[in-house]
Amino acid sequence: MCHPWLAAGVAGFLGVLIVREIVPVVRNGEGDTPLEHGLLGQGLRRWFRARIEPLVDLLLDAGVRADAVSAVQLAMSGLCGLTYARGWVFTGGWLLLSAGTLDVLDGSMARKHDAAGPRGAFVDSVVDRYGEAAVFLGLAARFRGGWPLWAVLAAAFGAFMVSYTRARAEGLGVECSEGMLQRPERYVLIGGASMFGALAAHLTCMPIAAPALLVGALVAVAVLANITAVQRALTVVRRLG
Amino acid sequence: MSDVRSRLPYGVLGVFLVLLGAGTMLDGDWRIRGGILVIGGAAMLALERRQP
Repeated sequence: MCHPWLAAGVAGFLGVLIVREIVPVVRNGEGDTPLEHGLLGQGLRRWFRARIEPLVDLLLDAGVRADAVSAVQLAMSGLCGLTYARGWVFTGGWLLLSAGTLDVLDGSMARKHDAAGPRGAFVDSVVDRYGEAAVFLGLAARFRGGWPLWAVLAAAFGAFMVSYTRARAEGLGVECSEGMLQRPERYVLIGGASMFGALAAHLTCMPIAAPALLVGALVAVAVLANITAVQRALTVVRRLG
Repeated sequence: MSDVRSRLPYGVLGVFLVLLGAGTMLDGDWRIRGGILVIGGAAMLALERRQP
């Protein structure tokens, strides 16, 4: 069933948010940020951290620990996977972006509370991987039986390889955090495409629009994440001499 | 700490609830549950605007 008027209202709400919040950041932002530091750029990352800062203070003030936020992030990622598997594309995209927000939130809380250390970093990494696995499993269930399943699998492999190359490099004592498609970019690409695809489907009453845009984003992630992983691998090989 | 309490992040929570409610209405046709979430989120956004 399509809801064009509701979709128009949501599109208007998102449009106001984007014009008021994000456009000024992009306009005043650093156009000179190299792509190797992520497609989103440093300006947007800084804006996002500043926007969630009050939430960090509030949660710390309430005695909430970063581990608890990581647990909620994992639960939200699981819910996101379930919604995707059920075909709830807009909700899945929004839960994915929200889980990404919690991912940034727990790190900021740990740093502010002076609790950032090897234990927290390890727990955070494990939670992130399981969270991503839950999302990709949900997408795989959604697209089972069709060719987009291959895009989901390639995107999942690329996403894990991006993290693995960095972790392995750091294990060998080499710093390697560059790459154009890191986790925030993956969240924004898949989550944004899900939400705008679902809105387009409701606005035009053409249900194919939602999966079409999502599959496009998954193909982009599959290609760019694997390029990022190779880019990181080559950087580490060069640094190791 | 009192500064933190006096400026609660209603905006972030409001946007979260509005879009979650809209999603449940669009995807699952859950008009009542989704509507409650949207109204709750809109109320939080209104509170955000009233904060100093």
